[in-house]
Amino acid sequence: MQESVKTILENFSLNIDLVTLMPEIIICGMALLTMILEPFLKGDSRKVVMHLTWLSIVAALISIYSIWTSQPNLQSLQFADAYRIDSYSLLFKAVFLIGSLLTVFISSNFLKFKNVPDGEFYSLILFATFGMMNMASAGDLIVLFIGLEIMSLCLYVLAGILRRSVYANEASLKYFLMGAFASGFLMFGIAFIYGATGTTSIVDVIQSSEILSNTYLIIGAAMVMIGLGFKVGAVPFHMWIPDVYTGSITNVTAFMSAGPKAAAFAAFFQVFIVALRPLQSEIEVVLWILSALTMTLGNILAITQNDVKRMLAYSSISHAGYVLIALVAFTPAATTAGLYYLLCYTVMNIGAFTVLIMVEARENSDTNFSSFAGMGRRYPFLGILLTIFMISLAGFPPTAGFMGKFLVFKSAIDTGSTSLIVLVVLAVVNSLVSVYYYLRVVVVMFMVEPELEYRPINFATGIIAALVISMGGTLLLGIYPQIFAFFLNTALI
Amino acid sequence: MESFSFPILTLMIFIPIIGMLILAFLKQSQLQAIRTVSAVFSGIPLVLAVVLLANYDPGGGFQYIEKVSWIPSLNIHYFLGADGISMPMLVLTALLSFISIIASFGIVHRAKEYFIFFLLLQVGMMGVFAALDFFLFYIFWEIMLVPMYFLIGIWGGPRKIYAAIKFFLYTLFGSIFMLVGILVLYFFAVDPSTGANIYTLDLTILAQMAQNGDGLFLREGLQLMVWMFFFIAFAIKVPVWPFHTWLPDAHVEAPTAVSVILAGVLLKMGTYGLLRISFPILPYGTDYFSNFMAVLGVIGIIYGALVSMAQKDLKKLVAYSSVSHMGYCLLGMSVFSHFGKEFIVGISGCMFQMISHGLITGALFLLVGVIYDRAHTREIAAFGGLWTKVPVYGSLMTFFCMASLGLPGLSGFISEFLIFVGGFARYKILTGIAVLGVVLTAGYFLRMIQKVFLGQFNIKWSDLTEINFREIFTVTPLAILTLLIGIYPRALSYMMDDTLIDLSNRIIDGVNIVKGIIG
Repeated sequence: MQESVKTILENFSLNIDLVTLMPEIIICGMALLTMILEPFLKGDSRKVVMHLTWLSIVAALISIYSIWTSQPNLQSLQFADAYRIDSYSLLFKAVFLIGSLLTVFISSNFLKFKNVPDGEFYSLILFATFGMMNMASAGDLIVLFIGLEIMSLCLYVLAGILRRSVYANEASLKYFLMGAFASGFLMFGIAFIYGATGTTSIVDVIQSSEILSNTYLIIGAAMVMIGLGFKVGAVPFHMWIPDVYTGSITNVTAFMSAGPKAAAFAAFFQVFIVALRPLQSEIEVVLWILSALTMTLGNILAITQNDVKRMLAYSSISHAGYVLIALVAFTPAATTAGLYYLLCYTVMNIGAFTVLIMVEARENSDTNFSSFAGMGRRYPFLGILLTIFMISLAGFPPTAGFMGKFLVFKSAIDTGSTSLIVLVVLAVVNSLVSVYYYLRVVVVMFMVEPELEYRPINFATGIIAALVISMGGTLLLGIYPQIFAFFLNTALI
Repeated sequence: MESFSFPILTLMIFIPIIGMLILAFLKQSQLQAIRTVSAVFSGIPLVLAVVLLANYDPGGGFQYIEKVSWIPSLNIHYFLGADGISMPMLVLTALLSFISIIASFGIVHRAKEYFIFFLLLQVGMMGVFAALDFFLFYIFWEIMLVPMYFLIGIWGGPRKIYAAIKFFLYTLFGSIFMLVGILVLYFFAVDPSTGANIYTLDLTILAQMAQNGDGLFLREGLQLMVWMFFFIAFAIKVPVWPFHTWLPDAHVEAPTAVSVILAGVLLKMGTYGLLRISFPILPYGTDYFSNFMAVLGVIGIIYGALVSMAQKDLKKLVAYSSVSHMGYCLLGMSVFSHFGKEFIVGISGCMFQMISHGLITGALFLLVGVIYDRAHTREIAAFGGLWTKVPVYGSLMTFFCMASLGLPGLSGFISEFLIFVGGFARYKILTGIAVLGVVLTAGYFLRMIQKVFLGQFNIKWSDLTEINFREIFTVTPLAILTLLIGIYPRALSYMMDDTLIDLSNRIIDGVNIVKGIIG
């Protein structure tokens, strides 16, 4: 016994490379700094927190870029193989950071409009981002769990940050209770996997010779799938999404629908495509059903919504279904396609939310479809932007949404399996259905006359920056994907 | 292969975008400027199209080729070119777009946006007819839907939003099948020399593979499935009989100029797609389903004509006549090459019908719009004896009705004649039934002329004004071309014949290879 501990200790090497950890260090450090700094600032100087936040996110993005260019084909295992930094996880982190950056840009004015004390807001966003980065780089199921909890705890608070709103309280409590339950499943699943294999490492594919008990492994995998499926919002674990997304303040909804969802998918890809590869045939069937249910149900429910925010919440469920196709395909190309899709979804969805926030941030306004009546006439340019976001969400060329779907479908058909072709046909039919409710926004915007004169929209600097970035992304990712070739050439495994 | 160093096709497709940008900076109230800008930027592509036509070499295969790598990691190219099938369509599209813009000068309500969408529509349409990479083709195909949706949904009639959504969802329903088909083609494209996957969507390469029988093209069942996917997409656009229900709604609700584009260009995209994609790339499927196409075509001819006879609304009558006339196209193309490689009567009849239906029905919609602008009704029974009041209008209307029902000397006759000659060689009974369609067509057009222009003058219309100069200007070129093709069909056929013979050879080679291998 003592001998084995000794060998373990001898083999134990932290092997830390601070340069490749720079993005995490920046984000975590700034999260702590803003938390400490905020109570000492008063009045207008509080804006410093916001500026520091977005600057740190940009700095983290730049450091990712420099790691990327200086060390191509990076494969680094740190903290005794518990933390894995490679090109795939770096790109995932970039996606989270872009989501967070856009969130910060759209938040400043909106928080003031809603009278939310913005002190803790920014540090919570940064901590959540840090948690997501841990998830993407997890080399061990425990690290994955810790990352997930860091992210989730921040999100529970963020969901309820509109303290005096009943709906926000409901959202926060609901999210917390159900989220805690899902975390329990995840933890229990990890324990089962440990019991079955004797390891929690997800760096290597589990060898079938290492499997002590196949039954336990399958039970463990199923529980992990439930835990992560909850975070992704896959049907039948989606019940929280509509209420939480609608109850939370809109900029938080935008945030939740992008980064955390991508992070949960990062975890999904690592656990199921890398670690649990031996179970592929069993997992595939379950994921197939999950994917089919998720996209179909999300779509059908979105059709009947009268609130744009709630419609986007349901549609985000169906988008999770499309990404799950990449998981069913189980190939390196599919992991690339899934990542690309998540990037596209991040920019176009936050873009749509940005316009939603602009509409909501007017006197006596809400997020109902009726709030959009006549907007296209009063603000034609904004109307066209929202139209482009909507047709992109519907997967229409030549926008990001189309390219993302094209890549995912392509990777699925490439496997040549009939069941996947059926799934793609189902997805394609679903995107047809989705056109109906996305275009409804456009119809209301351009073709319905408002009852009164359209109340003016406030164009803040941050909002404009977010619009420019998300629109640029939506068009570039769709029209000229070649400049993102590094994305297309990077795959997990 | 002649190739212009100057990217003239790109210019022709994208020049309206400059017009859109200029329009975006004009004020809603500067009506005159808005009209001038849109006419100019829609007119330049027309001039370019005529230049292309003048330099076109009928025996030269694809011309004016532009090929630039676009998404290298997916092996997708920005690839344009024109041959005998697309050249006439490009000219027709440019002409009808320009005419429609002129005809839309009466639009005052949100005129700026209207013309912006119209120019975008033109970009999409020209792109579809020039694209030679399937991915690019698909993108243009879809882009076109968006402005069309707005044009019907904002400037349409009372049920405009319903019609716009119906049109959009129907077409999209078809194009998603096309997308799945595209993905399948993409993965089965095989390099003939090495047998390796080359992942291409280049239409010329795919057609070459079909002719040589490489890759996907050997697999019978798969080819039939993909053919059916494409057929659904194209048949909805044509529209072939069971898929036609979007058409009357869209046509009746759309503003005049949009109806012209719908009938004149959009419907042709379906048949163009079949000729450009299904025929050369999936020859075995084409051969297998040719009887099926012929039957659907004849059903369309008879059904469309019978429904037209029952219409009380002028525009609906013309709309249903389109269903009938596009049925002729389908019948014509279904007999592509049954009697040897040089037998192209059926297909060339189909091409003639595409062009002549574009000219004639476009003009008919314009003329229906003329009377609707004045009378604010399209009900046939509400008129009567109008000839005494508006003789010029009456003559023009009669001219185009005669052209549409196939009067010898006008273009409609040529196309129907070719289709019947081709059709009779293969489908004796079906063609016999289809000929009845001509009688029915004559029936509803003559009945309409009689009720609207002849008989007792309805004094309610005593202050009806004659067709004005601008309106005459819009239909004149269409009338001239209808007459020209009717009298001298060689004006059109010299462009197409070589390409169609080549197409026919490809199909026969492809079919023989698959059949030889399968059994």
